[in-house]
Amino acid sequence: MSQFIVVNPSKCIGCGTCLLACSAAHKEVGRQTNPRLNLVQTKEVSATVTCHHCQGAPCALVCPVNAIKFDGDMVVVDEKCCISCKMCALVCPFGAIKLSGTSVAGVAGIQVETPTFPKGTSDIIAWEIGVYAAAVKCDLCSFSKDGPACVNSCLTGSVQVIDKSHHKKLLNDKRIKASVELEAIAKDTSEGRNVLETRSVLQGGKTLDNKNSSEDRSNQ
Amino acid sequence: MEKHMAVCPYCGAGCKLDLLVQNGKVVGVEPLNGITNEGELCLKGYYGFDFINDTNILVPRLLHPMIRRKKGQPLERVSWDEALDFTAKKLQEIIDKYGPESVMLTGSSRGPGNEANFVMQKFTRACIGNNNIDNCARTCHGPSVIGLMDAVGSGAMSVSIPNMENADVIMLFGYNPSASHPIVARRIVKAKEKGAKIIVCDPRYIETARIADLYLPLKNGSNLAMMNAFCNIAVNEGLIDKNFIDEHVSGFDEWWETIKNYTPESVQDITGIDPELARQAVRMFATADNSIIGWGMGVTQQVQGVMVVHTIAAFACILNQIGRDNAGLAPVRGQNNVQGSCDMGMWPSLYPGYQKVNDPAIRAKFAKAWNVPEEKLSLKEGFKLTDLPHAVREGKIKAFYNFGEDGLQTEPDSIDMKNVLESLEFYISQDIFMTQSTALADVVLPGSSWGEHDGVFSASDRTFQRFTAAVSPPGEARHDWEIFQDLSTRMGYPMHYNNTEEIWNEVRELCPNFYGATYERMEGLGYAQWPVPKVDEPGATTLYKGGQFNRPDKKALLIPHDFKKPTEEPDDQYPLILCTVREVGHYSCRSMTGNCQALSGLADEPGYITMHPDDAAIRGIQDQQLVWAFSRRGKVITRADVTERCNKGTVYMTYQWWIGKCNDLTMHQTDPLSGTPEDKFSACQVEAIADQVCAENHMQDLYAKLKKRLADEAAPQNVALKSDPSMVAA
Repeated sequence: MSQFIVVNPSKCIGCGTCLLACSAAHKEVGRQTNPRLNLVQTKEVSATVTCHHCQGAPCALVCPVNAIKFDGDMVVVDEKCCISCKMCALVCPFGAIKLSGTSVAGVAGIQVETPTFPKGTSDIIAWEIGVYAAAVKCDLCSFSKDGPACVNSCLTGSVQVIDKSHHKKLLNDKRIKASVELEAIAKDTSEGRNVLETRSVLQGGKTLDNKNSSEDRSNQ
Repeated sequence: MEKHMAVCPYCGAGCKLDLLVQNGKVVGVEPLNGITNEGELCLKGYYGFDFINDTNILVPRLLHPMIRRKKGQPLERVSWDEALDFTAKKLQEIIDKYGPESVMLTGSSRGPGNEANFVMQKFTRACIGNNNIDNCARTCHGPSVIGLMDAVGSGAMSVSIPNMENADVIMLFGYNPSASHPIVARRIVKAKEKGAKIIVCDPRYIETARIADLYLPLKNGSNLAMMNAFCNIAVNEGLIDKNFIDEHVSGFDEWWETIKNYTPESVQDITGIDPELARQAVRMFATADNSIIGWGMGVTQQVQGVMVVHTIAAFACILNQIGRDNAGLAPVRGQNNVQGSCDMGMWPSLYPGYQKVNDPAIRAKFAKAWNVPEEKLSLKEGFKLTDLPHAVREGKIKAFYNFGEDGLQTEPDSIDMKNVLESLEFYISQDIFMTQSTALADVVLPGSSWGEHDGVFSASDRTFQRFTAAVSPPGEARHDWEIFQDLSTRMGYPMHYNNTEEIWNEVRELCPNFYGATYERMEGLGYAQWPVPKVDEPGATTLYKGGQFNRPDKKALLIPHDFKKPTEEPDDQYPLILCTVREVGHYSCRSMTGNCQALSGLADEPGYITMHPDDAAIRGIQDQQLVWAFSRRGKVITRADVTERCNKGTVYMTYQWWIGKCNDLTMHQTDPLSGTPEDKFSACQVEAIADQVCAENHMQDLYAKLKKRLADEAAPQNVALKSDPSMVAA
C-alpha cells in the first residue's frame, strides 16, 4: 500500500504557497530546500506535480548506490549518500525528482552569483560552481507529526494526501455513484427511454455534486 | 515562545495571524481564525515576516536618523534631536519663503497603520497648513474611490469578503485575485464549489478564467466600450429593474442618450468580443438572484479609469445587483492598509472619515477639535501624488515628505521621477529600508516596522482590525506617530499622544462612521466594519441596503461617458502593448518581501515579461531566456515567460523588480479625473539576446551593484555618533 500527494486542479490558484511550505519544512530539519513539488501552469491546468511513491519505482531501480530505497510505503532518498548521477531524475515519469544544493552566493547580499549557463537549462544538468547537489523528492514530511506541509498550507484545500482511508472513501463514493447511474439507466431503458438522454439528465441532476466530479478529475 | 497577534501586512484581505517570537526575534507565523482568512494564509502571510530581522538580503533596515547637510554630500548620522531640528528648520524656511502650499506629503498604506497616518495628515493640515497629502491609492484604486463616491456615495467595497462566496454569479473585470489576493481567490473557488457561475473579463487567461463559466477575452484598453455595451444589452433586453431605477437611481434618461449607441455589435472591433458572448454574460449576471462584480487595476490603471468605475456602478444599479449581502461591488484593495489611508484622509480633498475639506462646517469641526483658528485649515484641495512631477517642475512644490513609499519603483516613468526627486529643494524620507527613493533624501528618518508597533488596519472590505507589536524597533528607530508629533511640536503645533489608542479615540470622535470601532471591541479576533456609528451596534457588512445610497438624495447617479482610445497605441517601432501586473510572492516595491529569505528564494530578479508563443517565436525568443524590453522612456533586461495564457500582441511585466523594472518603460500619462497613471497600456518592443550566459552575468552584475549602492548609502548610520554637535557643524 502506498500513499502520495495529488492536487485538484479546479481548486488550485497557482499561488505557490505549497512550494514555500515544502521548502521551509525541509529547511527546518536540515534537509535540502528546493521545493519537492513542481507547479505546472498550462492554459488549461494549474497543478503541482510530485512523487507518487510508485511501487515499481524506477528511480530506486536505477540508483547505482542504493541511495533510493523503500521505507514501508514510501520511496525515500538518502540525500547524504546520493552521488548526483541524475539517473533517477531522468527516469522518473512524473519529473518529480530535482537536484538541490546549498549555494554559496547571495549570502547577506554580499556574494554574487556567477552563472555559467542560461536559466532555461534543465535543472538536471545545471551545475553551479562549488555546489554539490543531491537528488531530492517528496518524503511526505515523514519527519513531522503534522504530515505533509504542502497539504497543511494549501489555502483552497487543493493539495491532498491520498492515503489508506482517503483512498477507500474515494473509491466507495465512485462505486456508489456508478451504481446509482447504472441502476437508473437499466431502469429507464426498460421503459424505452434513450440512454444518452438519461445520462444528460443525470449529469445535470443532484446525483453528481460538484465536489465529487472535481475529485474525479484530480484522480485521473 | 511568545505569540503576538497581528494582521498580515501585505494585501488588503486582512488576514489575522500570530507572530512567533523567540529571544526577541520573530521566527515564524501561525494563521489565526480571522473573519476574512478563516485560519488560512497565503505564501506572503506565512513566509513574509523575516524582513523585520534586518536580513540584508536586498537592502538594510534604517536604524539611525541621517541627514545630508548640503545637496550632493553623503548622508551623515545624527541624533534624533538634531535630525528633527534640522528638518523643522528647513521646512519652516521653505514655508516662510514659498508659502505652506509648497510642501507636499504622502502617507503610507503599508505597515504603519491608521494611527500614524492620522497623525501625519493632522501635521499636514494643522501644522503646515495645506491639504497636500495623498497616498498610493492614487496609483491604484483611486478611480474606484472617486468614481464610487460620485455614483453611489462611498468609495469602498459594498459587499464583504466573506460574503463573496455566497454569490450566485461573480464577474471579475480586470482583476486577477490569484496573484493579488489569494485569500479572496479562495472565496471565489468556494463560491464556484457552492454552485456560483463565474464570468471573467480579462485580456489574459488568468487563473480564474480556468474555472470560469464564461470567459470574455476583451482587447487591452477597451474597458469602457465593453462596459457600455454591457449596459446597452441590459437595457435593450429588458433585464433592468425599472422599479428600482425609479425609486433609487437618478439620471437614467440622460445616461441612456449615450449608452444607447453602444450596442455590442457597434463596439465589436474595439472589444474583440462576439456580441452573443457579451449577451450571455449580461444575462447570466442580470438574472441571477445575487451577483457581485469585482474589479482591480485592470480597470483603474487606465486613462478612463474613473469613467469605467462610474459605468460598473451603473451596471450594478440598473440591474438591482447591489445593496444585498451577496450582491454588489467588490473593488478589492491592493495594499494592506490602502483602504485605511483613504479612511484617514490621506487624500487632498478629504479629511478623515471622507469629510470634504471644502465644506466650511467640516472645517469648523476639525479646527475646534485640533485647537487651531479656522483660517489655518485650508479649504483648498491639495496636490495629488501624481501632480508631483509637474508641480516640482513648475516650482510649486519645493519640499516633499515621503512616508514609506518608494516612488522610484512604483510610479510610472521612473527615470523622470528620479529627476523630480533630485530637483526638490528639500526631501524627507521616513521608511524602514534604504529604498531607491530613500537613497535620494536629504533627511532619512527610521520608522518602526509592522511587528514593532500597535495599531488598526482597515481591510479592503471596510473591516477595522487591530494588530500588535511583537518586538521592539531596532537601533534608534521610532514609532512613526512619535516622529510626526515631535516634528509638529518643534514647528509650533504641539502634539502629545501617549499611545495609539489615544490617537484612535480622536479618530473615532471626529469620524461619525468610525465611532463604534473601539479598541476594546477589536481586541483579539474582534473587528468592526464601517459604517459603525455606535459602540453597541454591529458594523455594516453591506452598504446601500434597501437601495439607500450614500449620496445627498440617497439615490445612485448614472454618469455616461464615451469611449476613448488609450494614449500610446502600438506602432511599427513599438509594436507590443505593455501592461504591468503583480507578482504573487512579492509585494509593492519589494523592500519587505525582497528581504524575506523564502519569498526571495522563490522569485528574484529580473522577474519576467510574459508573452505569447507567437510573439516570442518571431523574435527568436525562448522561454526563460533573458531579453531586452524597451519603450520610448527606457530599456531594461528581463526574462521571457512564454505562455499561451498571454494574449497575442501584449506583454505583461510585474512591477516588483528593480532590475527588470517595468516602470522604466511606462509612461506618465494619467486619468484626468483621478490622476491615476495609465500603467496598463503603453507601447514597447522586446528583443532577443544572443549570448545568454553573458546576459545572465550582466544581470547579476547590475543587481549586485544596485544592492551595494543602497547598502553604501545606508552605511553612514553605522558610524558612531560624534558627541559634540559643534564639531560636526565645523
